[in-house]
Formats: sequence, C-alpha cells, structure tokens
Amino acid sequence: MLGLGVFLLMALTAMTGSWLAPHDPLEQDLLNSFLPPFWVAGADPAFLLGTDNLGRDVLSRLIYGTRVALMVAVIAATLTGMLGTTVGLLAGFFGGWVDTLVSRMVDIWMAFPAVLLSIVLVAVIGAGLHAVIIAIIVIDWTRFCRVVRAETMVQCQQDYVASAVTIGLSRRRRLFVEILPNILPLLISLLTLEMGIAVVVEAILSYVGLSVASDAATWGGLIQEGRLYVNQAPWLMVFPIACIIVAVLGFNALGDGLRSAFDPVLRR
Amino acid sequence: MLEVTGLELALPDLSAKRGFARAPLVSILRNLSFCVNQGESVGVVGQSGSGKTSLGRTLMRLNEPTSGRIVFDGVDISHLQEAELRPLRRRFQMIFQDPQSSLNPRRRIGQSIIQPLMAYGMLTNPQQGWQRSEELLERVGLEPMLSRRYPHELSGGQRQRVGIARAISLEPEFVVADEIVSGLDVSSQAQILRLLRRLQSELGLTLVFISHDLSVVRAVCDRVIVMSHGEIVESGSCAEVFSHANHWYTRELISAIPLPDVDEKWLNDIDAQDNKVG
Amino acid sequence: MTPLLNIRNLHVKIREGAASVPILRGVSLSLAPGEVLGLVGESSAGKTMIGKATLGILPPQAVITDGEIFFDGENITHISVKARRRLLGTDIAMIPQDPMTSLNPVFRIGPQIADVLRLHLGFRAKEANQRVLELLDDVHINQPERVVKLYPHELSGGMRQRVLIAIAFACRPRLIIADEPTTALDVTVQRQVLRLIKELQSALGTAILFVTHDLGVVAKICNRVGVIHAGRILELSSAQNLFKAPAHPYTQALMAATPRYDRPNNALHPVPEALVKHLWDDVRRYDRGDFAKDKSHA
Repeated sequence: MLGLGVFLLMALTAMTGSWLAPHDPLEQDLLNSFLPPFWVAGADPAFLLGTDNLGRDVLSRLIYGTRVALMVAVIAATLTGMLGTTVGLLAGFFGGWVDTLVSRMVDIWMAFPAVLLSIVLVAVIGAGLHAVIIAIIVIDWTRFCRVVRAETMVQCQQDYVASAVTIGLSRRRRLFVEILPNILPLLISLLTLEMGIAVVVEAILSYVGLSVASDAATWGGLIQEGRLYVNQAPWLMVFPIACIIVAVLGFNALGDGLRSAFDPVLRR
Repeated sequence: MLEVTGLELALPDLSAKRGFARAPLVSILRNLSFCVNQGESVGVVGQSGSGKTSLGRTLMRLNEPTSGRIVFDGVDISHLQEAELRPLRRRFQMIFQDPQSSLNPRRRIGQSIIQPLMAYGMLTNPQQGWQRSEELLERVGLEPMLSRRYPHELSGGQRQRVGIARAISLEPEFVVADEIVSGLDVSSQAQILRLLRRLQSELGLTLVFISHDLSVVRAVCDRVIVMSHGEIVESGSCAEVFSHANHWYTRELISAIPLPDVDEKWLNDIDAQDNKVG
Repeated sequence: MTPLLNIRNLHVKIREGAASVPILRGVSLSLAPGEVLGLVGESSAGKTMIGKATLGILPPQAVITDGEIFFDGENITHISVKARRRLLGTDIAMIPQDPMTSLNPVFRIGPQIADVLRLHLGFRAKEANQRVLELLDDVHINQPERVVKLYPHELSGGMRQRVLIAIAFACRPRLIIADEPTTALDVTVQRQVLRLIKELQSALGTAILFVTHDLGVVAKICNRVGVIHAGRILELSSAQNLFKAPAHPYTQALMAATPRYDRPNNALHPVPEALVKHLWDDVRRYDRGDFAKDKSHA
C-alpha cells in the first residue's frame, strides 16, 4: 500500500510536472541564489525548498528530475526484466548446452565491475537518457537471468510440470502457461528491486555527468551540483538524496505489496 | 497392453559432477522385464531407493530409457520423440504422489481438471469446460462447487481425488498411480482406494500401482512386482507372494510390516547380528 | 505406585485471529514408570499436542486453558522456563519425528551428542567424548569412532534416528516423548529402530509416551493404547484388549480401514460417514457444554 502510494505519487508528479512546478527549472535568478527552504529564517515562500547557486528553484528541479528517474526506472527495469527472464527461462528449461552457454556468459559478465562498465558504455554510446537505459539493460540482465534460471530449474522438478507432460502440453505451453505464472511473484519482486537500482544507477551516471544533457534537472545531477556548496547550502544535496531513498524504498514496498495482492498461494 | 523388456535407465549424477566434466551416470533401473495385461492391476513395491518411482516415470516416458523396450498396445514408445508421443499420451496417464505439487498451485481446480481436454482440443468453449469439470469432480465423489477453489484450499484426500479426476478426464486405458495414498490418514486412504477400484471396473482401466506399503498393494492389486536396487526380485499373484514368497528379500519385507495385532515375538525375531548398522 | 506422568482434564486451544479453536478437549491419562503408552489417531486429532504440552513446547498460538500435568507428583503445567529447562533432557526427553531436520546439519555427530552430556550432566569434554562412543555403541552403531566424525547428511535415515535415540537416552530420562519416531523410515529399518527403542526402554526402565498414526506400530511396542479423535481420548485400554476386542466403534472402524497384507479387502472400508458425523456432533455438544461451564465459573 505504501509502495503503491509512493509509486502513484511519483507517476503523478512526473506527468503533471510542468504544471505542478512553481518555476521553470532552468530559470536563473542570481539575486535570489542560495535561498534556504521555507522553514528557515530568511526564506522566500515563493521558493519552497530554496534555490541553488544560480537562483534556480530546487523544488521545480526535483519535480522535473522525477520524470527522468521514473522513466529510467520503468523502461530500464522492464526491458532488463524481459531480456534476463527470457534468457533465464530458456536456460533453466532446456538445460544442456543452452544452459552451459548462458551460465558461462553470465559468469563472465558478472566479473566486470558494473559501474565502470556502465561509464565506459555510456561514454561509447554518447550521453543521454537512452544511453543510460541501454547501460542498465546490458549490465543488469544477468541479475534476472541467474535468479530466473535457478527458479525455473526448481519448478521443472515439480510434479505439476511432469503432469503437464503426461497430459500432452507442448513445450511452449509448459514454459509459458505452467512455469511462467509460477515464477511471476519472483519476477515482480525482482522488477521492483530493479526499478530502485535503475534510479540509483541513473543518479550515479548523472553525478559523473554522463546522463541527460547537463543543464536538464536530474536527481543525480542535483546531488553533483549541490556537492560544491554543501557547507553553505546543505539542502541542495539533502533533498535529491531524500528523493532517491524514498523512491527506492517505495519500489521495494511496491514489490511486496503486489506479490501479496496477486499471489493466490500467499493470499490464503 | 504393456510389455517391458530389458528396460534400463541411467541418469547423470549431478552431485558427483566436477567442474566442466560431464556428470557420471548412475544406473537406476537394471534389466527389467514384465508385462501388464488389459484390465489388470499390478502393484510395484520396494523400499526407498528401489527405483519404483523411476520405473513409473519411465513407463510414462517422462524419462527416456537407456536401453530396452517399452511396448504400449503394440507400439514401441521407448524412444519416440515428444511429437510422436503426443497422440499416444492421452491413452496413458499418471496420478502423482503429492497432488499438492502436481496441481499448478496458481490455477483453480476446475481449470486444472479440464486442462488435458483443452490440450487435446476436446473442449471448445469455457462454459462447457466448467460443466465438464464439475461432472468429473462428481465422478470422483467431490462437490462440484470445488472447481472454483485453489489446490491449497483442499484437504489432502480431496486433492488426491482431484488428481484422479484429472488423470481420467482423457479416458485413458492405462494409468500409473505413484504412491497416491502415502500421505493420507487411513480413512481417506480407504476412500481413495475404493474409488480407484470402482473407477477401474467402470472404465476398464489397466493399472500400475506403485507403493512402499505392501498392505495397500494387497488391497488393490491382482499381481505384485517386488523391486530392490533397481531390479525385480520377485513377481507373482498377490495371493501367492503374500502367503509364501520365494525370495528372502520379499519375506523380509513382509515380515517387517507391523500388523495391528499384539505379538511379543515380532520385535525379538530380528537377529541380533542384523540389528547392527554402520 | 504413583504415576510418573499424570495428565488431568487437559484443555488446549489454538488462537486463530479473534476466535480460538479447541484442540484438546479434556484429556486425562496417566503413565506408570517403565510403561509404554501409545496414542493413536488420525492427523490433527491432537495426539502430538499432548506430547508438546507435556514437554512445554506448545506453539505460541496454543494455550492450556484448563487442566494439569503432573510429573512425578509435581505440577509442571505452568512452571518457569528455568525449572522446565532443568527437567527437559535430564528427566524428560524426546525422540522427534524427522531425523533429517532434528540434527544440526553443520556440526559433526559426536559434538552434537557431547553437547547434551556437558549441558545436562556437567561432563567435561574428555569424559563426554568417551561417553558418546558408549552411547553410539548402545544404539548398535558399528565403529562409533568413525561415525562421530561424520555430518548428519552422511548418515542414512535409520542411522540418524539411532543418533537421536542415543541423544534421548543419553541422560537416562525417566520419561521419553516419542512423536512418530519411525514414520519417515522404511519398514525394515522401522522394525530395527522399534526393537532398539524397546530394548533400551526395558533395560533402563524408561516410560515412553509413543505418539503415532500407525496402529501396527502401536500394537508391537505399547503396553497400553489410547485412541484419540478431535482432541478427546475415546478409548484407553491395554494393548491386548484393544486389539483383541476394541470397544469403541471408532476404534473398530480404524481397524477395519487399516490395510493388512493378510486380509486383502481390509483397506477398502473407510470410517463410516455416519460415525464421523456422530462423533463430531458429540464434539460440538461437548464444546457447548464446555463454554457454558466457563460462563458459570465466571
């Protein structure tokens, strides 16, 4: 429930961002730079969460950042999940050389340091939102693949799969109609976990300046900019970090919630 | 109906697999030959690790035998491919030990029961499906309304009846029942065994009944096959085997069953030597 | 002779949300020193709960609502955790059902038994190790020196159950609660394990409360037998009488439903539905009476 709340709030903020934000996130106002948040003395109520070194409204920048974060979370996690799940299902179901090939590939993949790999990838593809998403997919499909492969193998040992063979279901039906629904709860958990990870990865890449165009507002970019003035204006860093924490926790809670809501076995 | 000659099965032992090497094979079934006649019920008994369950699964072609022949109604099915087997599969079905795990936990009972019919295109519209599943539930002595429930909402005895309903939905001629009463209380066990006997005579089923419990086999089977370490040690009619078994292993197995009679001697009959392990 | 274990009118309820469901309905039994009392019944009849209540290891949702349990004249129904710990292991021990999960998989067999000796009998390490070898020899395990160095998964089911029996008898308890100790075993192994329990039991004069669903096992090892249904003991008599001439219709029905290899049609007589219904009507009447009694007390 909590997770759903956070998720809906994020989605709503992202969609109505341009209307919701009190200011243009890029609008500079050097006279009003470093204004503190509203509860501190000397604040201007027009800038609820204060302003940064160029006098840009922090709240508006956070709201615009939400859009980027959510897009990355949903698109990257879904695509990552689809790729990893497909490969994992096939490896677990068919076993044999398919499995050996996939497992070795995953092992090699996981031997690379993930952050370094993503930075190199984005540097090669060129900065931008699509590059961030591709980087996340390329790095993180192994996470799905490993778990789904193992779970598929466990499920294949179950009698209901043997029983599906005896009643004449084809391989495709067995895989998609019998096994897939049984690993769905696991997939939901993984997917929401991955959304949280995607948010963090996007923030890291923005932080090193490899995400969307550097003047656009992203949570990672805000942290990076705020870092320079952490002594004068700590709120510049605190707010985006808080956003990331809330988003990640929210995604995890969403996963738990969805699982207990849709799993007839857990629901008993 | 079923003729098995020189059946062998060896499976890779994954626990002994080292690194990239191929897993070594362990022999599970060794040179089994027997036949099952039309309408007969044959019990397969043995202790854990005797290979009786592997035999059942191999007869259903869930495993491919390493060598030997399984001839079902004149067709050698031992090495048929999945696609060639498919039309035959509706004629031989299996009832699994634990219906909890043989029914998809995320599907309603009714859907599970008619799934075989759907797979063979014998049902077209969903309405007909619910009706058919309710008929099948009644046939195995369950309330038709259970078809909307999930497996975990049923008792063990009820789930096993659902397993039976599903297996007979295709009106098979040959059924393998693998330890189907082992988790049940005696009274639901008796109900299931009765049901099985009734269905057998109504549908003219040929039955292979796998169990570790010789007493249960005695109640439902005409003939019995005794297995140990993947081999058949003895086979014959139940009356004969249970009254005077030929093989020492069978005799030991039978004498180890505690009958519900007070008998002081029973515990002391074991040789002190035999009772040393390690 | 005073009974070793005396259970009087024991009521246990299990809380399920706001409601509580009775699981034991006024169970009374007594066990003399050196006696083997069998409790048989179908699953969820409450037979396991009697053993658990005696050991004080009821699940957290279960509460004793009425009745007392006396061990050797002392009321142990609600004794302190500390007092109970002194009792368990030394005076009362248990043989659990599942030999697979009852041994800690990451420790070797020897230390697991030695721990019990050091904890309850204050043995020093060296004495304990020596005693472990004797105990394993008592349960007829060959080459105990080798077996103490093995991990649980390296033993067969029968061997593991022998180790658990060795642990149960280690402190020479006066009472052992055995909950389905042979259910997971093959018949030939079951027979050996039953014989072993009987042998140690008669040598040491231990009393055993033997819980099982198997009438056959009960017939072979018990002096007296109680038949349980829905948390009530319907019939309690000597094994001789019970198996020769069962008095209660439910006992008779259970016997008729039990398969026997010497009687081909035995397993085909389920407990008649009319009898089951009659029994549950009785239970419901009892629960209502019980409820009324509770009210009048208040």
